[in-house]
Amino acid sequence: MNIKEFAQKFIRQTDGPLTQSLHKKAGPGDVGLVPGAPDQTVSLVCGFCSTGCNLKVMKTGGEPTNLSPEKTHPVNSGKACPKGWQALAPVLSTDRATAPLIKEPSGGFRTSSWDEALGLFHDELIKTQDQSGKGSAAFLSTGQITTEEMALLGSLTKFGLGFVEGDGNTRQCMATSAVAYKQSFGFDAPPLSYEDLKESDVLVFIGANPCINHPILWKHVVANPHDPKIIVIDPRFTKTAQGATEHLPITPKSDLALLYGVAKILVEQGWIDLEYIEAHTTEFDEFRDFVLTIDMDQVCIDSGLSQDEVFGLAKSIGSGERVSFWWTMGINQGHQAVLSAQGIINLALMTGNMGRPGTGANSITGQCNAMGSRLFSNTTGLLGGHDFADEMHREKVATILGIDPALIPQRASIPYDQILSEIEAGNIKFLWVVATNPAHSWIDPDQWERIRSKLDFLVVQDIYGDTLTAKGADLFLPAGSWGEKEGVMINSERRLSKVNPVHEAPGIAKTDFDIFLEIANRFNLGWVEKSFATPAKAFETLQHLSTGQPCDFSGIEGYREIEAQGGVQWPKAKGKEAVKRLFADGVYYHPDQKAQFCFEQVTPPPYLTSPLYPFVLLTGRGSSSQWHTGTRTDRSPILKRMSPKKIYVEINPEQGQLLSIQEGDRVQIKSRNGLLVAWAVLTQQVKALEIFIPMHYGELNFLLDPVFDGLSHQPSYKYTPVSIEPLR
Amino acid sequence: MADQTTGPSIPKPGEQYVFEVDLNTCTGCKGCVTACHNLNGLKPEESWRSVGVMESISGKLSQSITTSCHHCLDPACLSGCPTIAYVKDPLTGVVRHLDDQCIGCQYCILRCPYEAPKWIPSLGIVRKCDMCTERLEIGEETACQQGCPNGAISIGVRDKRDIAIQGGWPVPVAAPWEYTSPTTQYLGLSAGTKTRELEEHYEPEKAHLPLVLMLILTQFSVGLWGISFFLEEMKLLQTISVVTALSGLVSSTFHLGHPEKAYRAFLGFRTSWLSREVVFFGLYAPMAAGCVGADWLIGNGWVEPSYLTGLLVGQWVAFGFGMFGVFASAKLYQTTPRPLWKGSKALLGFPMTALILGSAFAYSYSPLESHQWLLWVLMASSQSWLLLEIRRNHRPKGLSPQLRSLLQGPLKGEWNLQRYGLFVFGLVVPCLLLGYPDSAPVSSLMFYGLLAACVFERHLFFKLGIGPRMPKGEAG
Repeated sequence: MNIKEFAQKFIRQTDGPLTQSLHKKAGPGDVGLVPGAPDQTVSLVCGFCSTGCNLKVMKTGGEPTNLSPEKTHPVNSGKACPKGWQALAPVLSTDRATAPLIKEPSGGFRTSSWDEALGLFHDELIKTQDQSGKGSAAFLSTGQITTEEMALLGSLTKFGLGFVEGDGNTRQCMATSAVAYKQSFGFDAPPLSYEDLKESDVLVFIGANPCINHPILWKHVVANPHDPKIIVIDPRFTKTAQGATEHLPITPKSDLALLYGVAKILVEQGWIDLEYIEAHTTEFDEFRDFVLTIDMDQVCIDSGLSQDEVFGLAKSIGSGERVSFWWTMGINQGHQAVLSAQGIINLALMTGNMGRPGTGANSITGQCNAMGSRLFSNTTGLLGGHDFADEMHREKVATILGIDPALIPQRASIPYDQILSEIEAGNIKFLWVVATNPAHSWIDPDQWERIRSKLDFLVVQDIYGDTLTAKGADLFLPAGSWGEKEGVMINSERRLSKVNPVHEAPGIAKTDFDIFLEIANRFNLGWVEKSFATPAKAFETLQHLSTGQPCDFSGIEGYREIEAQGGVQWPKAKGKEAVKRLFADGVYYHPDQKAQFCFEQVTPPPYLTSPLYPFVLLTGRGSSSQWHTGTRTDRSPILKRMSPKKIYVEINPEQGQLLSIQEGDRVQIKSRNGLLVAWAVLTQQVKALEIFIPMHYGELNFLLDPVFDGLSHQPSYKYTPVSIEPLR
Repeated sequence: MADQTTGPSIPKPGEQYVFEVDLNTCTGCKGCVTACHNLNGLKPEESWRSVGVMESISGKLSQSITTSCHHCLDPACLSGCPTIAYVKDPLTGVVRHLDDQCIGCQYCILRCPYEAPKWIPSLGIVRKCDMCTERLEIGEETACQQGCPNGAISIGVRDKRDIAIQGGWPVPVAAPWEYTSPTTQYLGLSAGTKTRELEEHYEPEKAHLPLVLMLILTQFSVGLWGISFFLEEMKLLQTISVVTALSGLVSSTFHLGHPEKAYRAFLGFRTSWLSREVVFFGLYAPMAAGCVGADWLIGNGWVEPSYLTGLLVGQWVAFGFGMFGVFASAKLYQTTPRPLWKGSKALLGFPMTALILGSAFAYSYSPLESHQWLLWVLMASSQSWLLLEIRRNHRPKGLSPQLRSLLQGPLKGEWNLQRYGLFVFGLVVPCLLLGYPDSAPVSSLMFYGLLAACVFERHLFFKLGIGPRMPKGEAG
C-alpha cells in the first residue's frame, strides 16, 4: 500500500462501500440509470386511482426491487404521482396477511388452513341461508380488484350461491356518474379521451381537484398548447383552482342551481347549438322551458357568485370552440348528485360540445377499476352493462356462462345503504366484504358498528388483516395484492390495461380470483370453472358478455394486444378499430339514438346550517401521498412521511381570528352526529363559514350526516353543518 | 432517457449547475420526492427532496415549494465538516458528500439552514442530494426532473457572479440568502408569503445525550482545572479533572455514527470549529493527564522536584488548551444558523458552566471556611447566568413564539428544574453554607444539584436548538 492508497483508505476516503451502494447503472430497457442492478422489468397498470398510469416494476433475481413509471405509455409518459412511485411498498409490507384468521370465542383470532377457513365459510353460509333464506347473504366489494375477479365474484355469488344483494364501494364514488350517463346517454359511457385535456380551448372543472387527486391528468392540462381558459368551480381555492385562469368559489352544494342558471343564460343569449340539439337530443324544449323559469337572483344568492361571474361562465362556455367539462367527487357526492352531473351533461349537449376533440361531459373516475366494476361487478347491473330485469339479457348471459337462466335474479341488487339497512333490520345476516374498509370509509360509521352485532357472520377478504373492518370479522381471508395477480383494469377513458404478477402473495395468501374459484369448488359449482378457469379465460368470457353492448370489446386480441398497445379503449368490437372518443357520430345509446336532457327542481340539502351548527364541513383527499383510508399508503414509510400525521382542519384565517383560533391550535368540531378534535391550519383555501377536513382519518365520518342522492344512492360526503371552537 | 441533447450544457469556468424551479407549475404532487427515493435507491424513509407549502398573508395563495440541496456557493455543511467529507465540484458546482469519509457527527445538519443533509441512522452517516451527478454526466434527467409531471424542475447553468449579484431568496422562513448563498432559482414566486405551520413545527429537536454529557463534562473539567491553581488540593482536583475530561471525550464518541473513523475529525481544522474543538480537547486531555502523572511522580519522589517549574508551565498550557476547547465548543454552536445558539447562549453559558461546576466541586471537595470565596464565585456566576437565561426565555424578543410555546408546554418541566436548580443550589444553599461552612453533605448536595441543573440546561439547549428550514406543511 503506497501513501496515496493509505490516504484514500484511512485519511480521505473518497470512495468505498457506502459510496458504491448508491452507484447507479443503466437498467434493462429504457429505465435509464437505476440503483441495485435490476435484470428484468414487468409493466403493469397502477392499482390506486383511475388515471391508469402504467408502471415498470424492476426485478432483481426474480424479486421486485424498484419501480419507475412507463416512459412510453400514452397515459402517463414516464410520470406518476407519489402513490404510483411507491406502489410496491404496500405489496412488500411485512404487515401483509399471510394466512386465514378465524375469530375465537375469546374475541382473538387464530390462524387456520384454507381448508378449515373455507369449510367454515361454507358451513356458516349454508346455515344462515337455511335459517333465513337464500337472500339473507350479501357481499360488499370494491373498485380495487381486477375486472375478471369482479365478474367472478358477482357470478359466483348471484348465480351460484343464491345472493340477490351485493354492491361495491364504487357506490361511494362513481354511482352518480353511472346513473347520470345511463339516463342521459342510454348507457354508462364516459365519452372522454385524455387527449381532450390537451385539445380544449375551454376547460371547466367542477368539484374536481386533479392537481392533488389525479396529478397525471393535470399534466395533460399543462401540456395543452391552446392557451386554454381553465375555469374551476369549487368552494375551495384548491391547487387546481390556483392553477386555473378563473376560480368560481361557489357555496357548497349550489352547483345544480348554478348549472341551471348557466343553461338559462345560454338559452337566452342563443349560445346554443340548435342543429346539434335537434339532431341528437330529446326533451330539450321541456328543459328550455324549465330553465327559463329559473330566478337568476336566486342563483346568485345560492351560489354566492355575482351576476357577472355567472354570465361570464356562460359566455366562456357559449363562445368556446372546444369546451370540455370535468367533474369528480364534488359533484358525485351530493344530495342531488345525479341531477348535477346531468346539469353538466346538459350544458355539453346544448352547446354541441360532444364527440369532437377537446369537448365532452367527462367524469373523472376514482378507483383504479371503478370502471370495471360499473360494467362487470354484477351488482346493480347484470354482467357487461346488461339489465337484470331484461329477460333477453338474462338469457344471453346464461347462455354464455352455460347456466340455467332461472339462476339469474330478476332484479338488480339494492344499493349499499339499503344493504346496511337490511342488515340492521335483521334481514341480511351473512356479509362478505372484499377489498374495502367500510368501518372507516362508510358515511355512517356508527351504523357500521351497529350492524356488526346484527350479523351472524362477517367475512372480510383483504390484503391486510389489521384494517378496521378486518378486525371485526368472524373470518378473515388473506388475499393477493395488486402486483400479485393477472387481469384487466379499466381507467377513466375506458382504457383496458393489464395488471401483471411481479411478486407472490405472502404465506398462504391467494389471489382474490383463486379464493373465489376455491369457494366455487366448495359449493360444487362446476360451471364456474368453465367460464373462469383462469384470468385469461375469464377475460374471454367478459369479451363474449360485452359483445353487442356499447362497451363491446370483443375485438381485442386477448391480453397480448392490451399489453402491446399500452391498453385498449372500449368499444373495440370485432373487426373494428378502438374508439378514442365516444359520440363522434352523434349516435347515443337510447333506442332513439338520442341523448336526453334530464332535470328536476333544485332542493336544498336536508340538513342546513343553523345558529347551532353555522359552518359547512367539506371533505376530500388531503394530499397526493394518501389514498382513501390509508390501509395501503400508510405502509410506505416515504408516503407516510409526506402525509400529515394527525387529523387537521383547514380554517379561513379571518374566520380563525373571529374564533380566536391560531395556527396549530387544537379545535373541537361538532355536528349533530358526533365530535372530533383536530389541529387548526389557517388557509385562504377555504372560505369563511366553511371548513375542510381530509377523509383519511377515521374520526371524520362519524360527524357526517348520512345523506344520499335519491337516484344513485351515493352518499353526500361534502356537506355537513358543524360548529367549531378552540380547545384551551 | 439518456439523451445528450436534452441535458443541460456543461458549465464553463465561473458557472455551475443550479436547480431551476418554476413555482407556477409546481402543484405540490410530491412526485419528485418519491422519484428521488426510488431512482437513487434510498432507505425506506429517505428522500433528498421534500415539498412544503407557503401561505400568503395577503391575497389567496397556497404555494407548494419543492426543495432539496441548494448546492450553495458557500456551503455551510462543507465549511463545518470536521472530516472534509464535503466537496464542491470545481467543474459543476455540485456539493457532494463523501459517504465513506463521513464519521456521522451530524454537524452539517446543524449548519445547513435547508435540511439538505439527512441523517441515516441505519448507516450511521449523513447523505444528501448530489444533483444526480451520474445522470447529468450522461445527459439524463435528474430523478426529481423525471418525477415532476409538469416539468417544474430543471437543471440550469448559471454564472456564479450572477447568482451572487442577484442574491435574494424568496423563501422567508429559511436563513438569509447571504448565509450560504444557495443557488436554486425559484421562479415565479409572489412576495409576501408566510409558511404554513403544521404540528411538525412544534416538535422539539433531538436531545443528543452524548453531546450533553460531553459538553458538561469537558466544561466541568476545564473549570475545575482552572480553579485548582488557587487551592492546595491541586493534585487531587486535577486528577478528578482529567478523569472527567476523558469521560467527556469518550461520551462524545457515542454520538458518532462511525466512532472508528473519529480520528479523522481534525482534518477540517482550517474552517471547522468542530475540528478545532476536537484538536483543543485532544491536546488538553493528554496534556492534563501528563501533568497529573508528572505531579504524582514528583510527589512520590520518583522524579526530580526541579521539574516543578516545567510542570507549572505545562499545567497552564493545558489550561489554555482547555479554555480554547470550551471556546471552540461554544463557537461551533454559535456559528450555526440556529436562533437560540446565536449571541450569548453558548459563548457565555459554556464558560459559566465551567466556573459554576468547577467552583462548586472544589468547595464540596474541601468545604473550609478559607474556601468561602468559591461560594462567592459560584453565587455570582450562577445567578448572573440564571438572570440571563430568564431574560432570554421570558422577554418577548428573547425567543420565537414556537420556542416559547415549547418552553411553556412540553419542555416546561425541564426549564423549571434548570432555573429552580440554579436558584436553590446556586444561591440559597451557598448562602446557608456561608453560615455553616463545613457541612460536607450539604456542599456535596449543592454540587450535584448544580450538575443536574446544568444537564437540564444543556438538554434544553439541544431541544430548543431548532433551525431555520424550508417550508413544511405536507398537506395538499
